[in-house]
Amino acid sequence: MLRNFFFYRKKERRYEFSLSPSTQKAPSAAPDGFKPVDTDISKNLEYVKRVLSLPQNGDIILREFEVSANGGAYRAFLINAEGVSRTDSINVSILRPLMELSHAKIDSKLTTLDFIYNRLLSHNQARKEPDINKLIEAVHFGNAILMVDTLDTGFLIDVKGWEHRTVGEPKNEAVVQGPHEGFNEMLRSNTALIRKTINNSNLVMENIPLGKTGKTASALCYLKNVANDGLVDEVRRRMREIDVEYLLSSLDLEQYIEEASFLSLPQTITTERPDRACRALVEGRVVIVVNGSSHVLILPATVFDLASSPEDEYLRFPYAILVRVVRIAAMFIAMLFPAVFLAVTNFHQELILSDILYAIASSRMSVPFPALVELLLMELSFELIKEAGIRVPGPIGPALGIVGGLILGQAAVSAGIVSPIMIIVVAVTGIASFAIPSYSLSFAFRFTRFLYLAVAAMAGFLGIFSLLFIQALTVLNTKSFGVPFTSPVAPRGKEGIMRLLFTAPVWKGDTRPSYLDQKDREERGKWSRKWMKK
Amino acid sequence: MRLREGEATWLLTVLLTSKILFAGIGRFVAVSGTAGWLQSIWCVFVALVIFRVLCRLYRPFEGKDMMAVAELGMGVGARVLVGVLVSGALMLHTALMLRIYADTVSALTLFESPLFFVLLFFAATMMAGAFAGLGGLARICMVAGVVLGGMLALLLFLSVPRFTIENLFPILGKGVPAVLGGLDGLEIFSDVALLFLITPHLNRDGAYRRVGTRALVWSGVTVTAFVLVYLLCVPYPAATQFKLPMLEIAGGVNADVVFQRAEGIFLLVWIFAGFLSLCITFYLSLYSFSRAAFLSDRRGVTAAFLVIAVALALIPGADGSYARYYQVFFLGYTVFAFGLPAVLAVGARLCAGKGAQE
Repeated sequence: MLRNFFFYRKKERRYEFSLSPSTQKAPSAAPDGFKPVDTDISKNLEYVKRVLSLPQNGDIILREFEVSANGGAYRAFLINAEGVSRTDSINVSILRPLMELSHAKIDSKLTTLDFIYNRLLSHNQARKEPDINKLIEAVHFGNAILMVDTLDTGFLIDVKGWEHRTVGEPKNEAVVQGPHEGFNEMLRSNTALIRKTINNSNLVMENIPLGKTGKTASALCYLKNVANDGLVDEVRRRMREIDVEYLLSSLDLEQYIEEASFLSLPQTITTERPDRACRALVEGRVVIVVNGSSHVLILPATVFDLASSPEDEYLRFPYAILVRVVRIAAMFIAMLFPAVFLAVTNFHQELILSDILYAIASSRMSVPFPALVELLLMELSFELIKEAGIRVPGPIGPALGIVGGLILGQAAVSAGIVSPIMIIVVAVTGIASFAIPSYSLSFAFRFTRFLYLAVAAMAGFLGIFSLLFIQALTVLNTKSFGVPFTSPVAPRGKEGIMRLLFTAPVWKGDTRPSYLDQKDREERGKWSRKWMKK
Repeated sequence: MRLREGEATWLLTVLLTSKILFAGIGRFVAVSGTAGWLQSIWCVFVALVIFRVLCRLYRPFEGKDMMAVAELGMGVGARVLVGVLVSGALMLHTALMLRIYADTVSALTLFESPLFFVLLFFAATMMAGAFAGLGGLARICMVAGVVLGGMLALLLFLSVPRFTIENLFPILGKGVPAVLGGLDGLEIFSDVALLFLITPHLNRDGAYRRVGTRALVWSGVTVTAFVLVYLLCVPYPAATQFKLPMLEIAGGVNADVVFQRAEGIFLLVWIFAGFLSLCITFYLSLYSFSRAAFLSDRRGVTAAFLVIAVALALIPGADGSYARYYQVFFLGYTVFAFGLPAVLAVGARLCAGKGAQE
């Protein structure tokens, strides 16, 4: 207003953008279905340019050249995607022999197609492909395609090579003893880690593309002499019948193929460890490796598998029993401790010793909030710190720990907002949740802890037991790929409950898990330590 | 869903044993005095005999439940009638037990909460149990049964310091006629006849004989053990004064390490056993109705049945009059539970003739 007080200045029109409904039809999706390679290279070139949006697509390289073969000169072109294919391999194994060797006088009675395939293309992973759509699709995954005039077949050459993380230590499943290799995002790196460990011709790795448009590469791995055929067929069927455009990670795939998506517990095991995947294959399970994910899926899974740690296999059995018992206690503490504390202090004071009761009451005397509000405040603060800790930059991490400790500890108590006993409850619960080996399982417990708090505040032990009963019913009724989720406890398996809790020395486990119904149940001989007999 | 023998055994055992949490133990003591444990053994024996007789009558109809046997012998009308009768009886059973459990929990812990609020929690678990089905219930009985059995064993073990052998004398209590005539204790074991509702769901046709026998033996051992413990801890005639003998046993335990009293153990066992027995009887009531009404999916009527059960549970006043209903009802229920399968089997044999016996 002041600007136009003395002189009028026309208001400048500012640029504003808003989305309007698109008037153009969506371009047709990448063609599907069989389309034969044309003998006229011009038509092939035109088709390929249209589908691959050349020359707009800056990373798709088109190289036209001539091949002399069998006394004639033929137009040819090569297409590859920069960044996912190895240029040196293309130059050395494809272009050079086609351009230089093709002039050599070689007596041959082969057809032009066979001459090029058998005598000129010196790459070890080359194959013929009559479907032009399959050839075009293959470009995106690091393959180079070659088409030659007058030939109704193209050539698909595997020249994959892109930047990737090397095989390193698993980030979330570190062990003290045991191998320190972990999966990375490359499908073939991961399958290689499995194959070199299993080292068996019975190991099958089926390629199954995921997603109609994205066609993310994945491998379904199993031991064909061990794994139940019905299980393998069912997993394959579920993977093939996912109707989605893109499926980019194994964790997405997990949600697409599991049955009870609304259950808080995961129904597959995710792991970054090749040794754990190999052990699962030997037991008769199925492993799914997805390109672009460092986590592989192991299925079927039971709730006891989710609670076990990879380290259990590398410890001597007394230590393994101890850590297993500690872990089971940690699971119950993580889920129930705050709720039980609330129930006992609010509804069932007669259960605890009078001295303890007085200590709790005196520590809470100056706190203005009810116990439930106090607990919720502390739990939410703890969750905030956990979430912030994931995203905080490295140098600030220690500072966050100090600040969090101060907030949750001394400052809150000094201000009279919370009582010291509540700090202990929340801290013990938090530490217990970190002792749970499976990341998804720990999330499930973190989530259900709040539900238990709510019912404990309403009705004490009655509320807790009601929710525990309903949760137990739900878990007992769940199946993971046909296997009851609480096997071998309910239904009772041949292993017995004690073997779950109290692991035995490794030479005593002579059979595979009974609930997987493998073709071959014997994993080791009855007397696996034959040297003992002499 | 096919139940294995172990699963079905656990299901029945939990159902039968849950009755000892009520006045069951006290009734043995009231009738036979210090020989209450002998009366318990006698009742188990009689229940076993009745069960084996029923098994013999049902031999031609293996793999069929009571409704199917009624239809086989007397037509579709009989199936509908039997299904409705069984469903109604189990619905009353569920409603009465629901009221008793809710009242007891309310009296023990949630003094200031309205009864309806407490009933809601039980109702929620019954709903979950009905949706879980027989398989889920059997599995949770397997898992929870082990835990509850351990708790009861712990209670038993912690009661040992209170044992006084003199409390068992005279050994025959009020005399042999009182012991042998004290068959009202059969009410605790009457639910074994519900096995004839779930026979089609067992994985083998002849498995019901073994399942029922094992369930009776295990529950009999448990009931007898706790009658004995009660008598050892609380002398007769003081033992007849307590309405909840198990609570009295738990209240006398002193576990001074962390917990003041062991009533927490009793509470845990009580609540969980309540959930399990209510879920089982409610599910079987639904199942019987669905069989009678030819329903392919019983889940549609679950909510309606739940409302009926809660409404029935709220009928008795707050004056404890349901205790009278309990005695009258379970007397009739015992006769019904043992009598109906026998009548159906005999009727089917007579009406169907030799063809039914082949």
